[in-house]
Amino acid sequence: MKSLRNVSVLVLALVMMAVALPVFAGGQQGGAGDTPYIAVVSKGEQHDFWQQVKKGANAAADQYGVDITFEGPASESDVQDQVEMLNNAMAKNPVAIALAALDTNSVMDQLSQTLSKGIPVIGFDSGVPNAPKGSIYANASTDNYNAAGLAAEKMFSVIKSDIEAATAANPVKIVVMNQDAAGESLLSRGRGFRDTMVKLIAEKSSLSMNDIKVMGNPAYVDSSNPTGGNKVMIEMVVPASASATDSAAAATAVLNKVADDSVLGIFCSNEATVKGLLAATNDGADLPAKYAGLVVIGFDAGEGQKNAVRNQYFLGSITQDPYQIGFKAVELAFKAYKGEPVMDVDTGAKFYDKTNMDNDDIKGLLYD
Amino acid sequence: MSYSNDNKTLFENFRDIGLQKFLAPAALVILYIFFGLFGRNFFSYSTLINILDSSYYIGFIAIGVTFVIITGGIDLSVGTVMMCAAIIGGTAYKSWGWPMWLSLILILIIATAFGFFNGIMVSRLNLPPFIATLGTMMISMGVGSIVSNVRSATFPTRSNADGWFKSIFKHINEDGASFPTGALVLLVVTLLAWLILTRTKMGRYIFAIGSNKEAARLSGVNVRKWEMMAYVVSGFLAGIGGIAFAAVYTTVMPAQGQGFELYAIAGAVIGGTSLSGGVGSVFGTLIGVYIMSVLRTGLPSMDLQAHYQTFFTGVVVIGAVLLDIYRNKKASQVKIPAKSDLYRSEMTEKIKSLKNSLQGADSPESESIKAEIAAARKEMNEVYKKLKEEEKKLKQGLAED
Repeated sequence: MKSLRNVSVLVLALVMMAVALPVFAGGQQGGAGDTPYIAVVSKGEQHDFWQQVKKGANAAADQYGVDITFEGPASESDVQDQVEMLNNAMAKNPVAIALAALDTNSVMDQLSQTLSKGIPVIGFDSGVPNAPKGSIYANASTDNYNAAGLAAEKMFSVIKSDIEAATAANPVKIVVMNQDAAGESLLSRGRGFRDTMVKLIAEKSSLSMNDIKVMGNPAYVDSSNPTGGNKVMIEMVVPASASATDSAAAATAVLNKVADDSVLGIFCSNEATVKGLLAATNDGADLPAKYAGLVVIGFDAGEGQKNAVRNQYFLGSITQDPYQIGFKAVELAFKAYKGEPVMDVDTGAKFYDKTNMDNDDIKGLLYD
Repeated sequence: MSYSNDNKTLFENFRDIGLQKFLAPAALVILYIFFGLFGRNFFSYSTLINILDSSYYIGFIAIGVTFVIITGGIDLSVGTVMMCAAIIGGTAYKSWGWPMWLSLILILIIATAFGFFNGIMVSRLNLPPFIATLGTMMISMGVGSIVSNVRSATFPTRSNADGWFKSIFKHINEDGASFPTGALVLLVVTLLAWLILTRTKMGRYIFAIGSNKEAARLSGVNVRKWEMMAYVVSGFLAGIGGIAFAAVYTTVMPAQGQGFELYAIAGAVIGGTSLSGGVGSVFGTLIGVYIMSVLRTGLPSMDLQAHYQTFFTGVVVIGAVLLDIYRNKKASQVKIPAKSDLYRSEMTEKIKSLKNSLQGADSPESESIKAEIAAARKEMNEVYKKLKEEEKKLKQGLAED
């Protein structure tokens, strides 16, 4: 008899556990009902960047009256976790999926499954590069080429007179720091800055295409680029590796040549290269002290970079619009589910400097 | 009458099998039904496949680690050995251009070699298993990163000709319907492990070592050899786990696998394997792994995120260990029947025989028998209570002396 009582105690404990579950679930379990469900699987959730994406996604969900779940793995190397999240999301019969894949190869089976079932998949942020044809209906992402072009415009407007003053005897240089020569988004940024700068110099200054020389890492130099000039050099720099120390070393090497090569401006195409430059310049404080007149533009945000912009060590930085990325991802997913034609959306980029970084429309885009 | 007897033996059977062996599968079923009721689209084939898919890699290493735990040891290196072997196999395929089948064999060899290394350190060099396998955990993580140059290893996808090995763990036909062949592989491996543990010399020796190493040695068991074999089995199964991981997740990132060993150990413990050694079953481990896997799939179906799964797995593990302790205590208790207990069983017998005679009797007679039963019950309860109190007082008196 006694053991029977023990069994009942144990069963009770199990039941209590089962009862505890919905308590935890409380609030998170919205009205399941008949509202269409869209699964959003991101690359992460922790960073402020992703929190902004999530806010945007939720706003779009409210606007279109859909249920969404937003989840991502704890770190960007947790490919396995993301695959499981996608699997679990797909088992819940979503009408559409928004996906920022950490690794396209590992979700190949899932993508061919959505393709055969006719579930639309929308890529967001970096999207799902090299996905099977037809599985990705559209992408909501920053057009990196245009975003970097914006940086080139801002820089050009400041250094235009210095560029026009350049001669063959006293050439000037513009440096682009790229973290690596492999990632598609970074390649687009480098090219976007380079092409826009070349175009601006050729069209809006007294110099012509023949005065420009694009040099540096071959991945960033196309055959269509001018390479025969001797007045304005555009150097594409790639550090030895993506590590923070190599970024800093490459930045130091560039800074050492600022006086000799008359470097007018540096564009750092992502947060890692910005951090490298900051590390090489005492968090940016050396920039006005030792390299007065040097124009620096960064990309993305982060505490150090925001500080550098606020203190005007940098002219400013380019920021993506994570809120719009999330919003457009869910919007496209909803439209694809409705059968409306969808196409890639550029979620835009904004230039921020000391004067506008605290404005409401910018503040939300700058994360630490 | 025979019916009631059968009933009793059934209940006794439950008691003999042990609460835990009955409770773990029951918990699995309860959880599954629970999520089915509250989760979104949980009772579906695709969810079932997800549960199975996420059980393979933990399943294999959990079975391996069960062997080690039964010997009274522990293997903390299974997770990282699995990922190390997988990433080296992937690097061999991708960077060194090895054929697929050879890369898969390389995975098994590397994992088995690590198991061998653990075994030698524990059985020959007498390192404590915790320390030895902790070291191997770090070594294997480092080796994986060194060989792969800290680059992720991508195995061929299904469309690739070399993607055939994925079908070992999940078969997808042309219509896109998938069949979880990996569950069969896991079941066959579990069956083999069960045969080894219960039907072979090796299994008996492994249990003997776990129960009492010194006694096993004195009885002429080659303790060193068989203890080492447990680690080798664990390593080999980590290799199979590595292949399963590569098949399901395609990309293996460097320096991963830390934490998997804890899930494997948790699976074994939930399944009733005792960390003090000598007790355990691989089928129990399999149930434990599926409990965790159901949590892993079920909680997201209720829109709860991954960290809740970790939380509830922790709850399940603590519950399982509490049960383990309770069971061990129960088993080792020497029971001396007290006077009150003797009296009660005597009375219970009496009531029972009265009840039996009730069945043959006609209605007026049965009324009086019923009254008699009620009186006997009342008397029994009162006297039993009194005797119990007396015994309690006696006990207290003894304690105060």
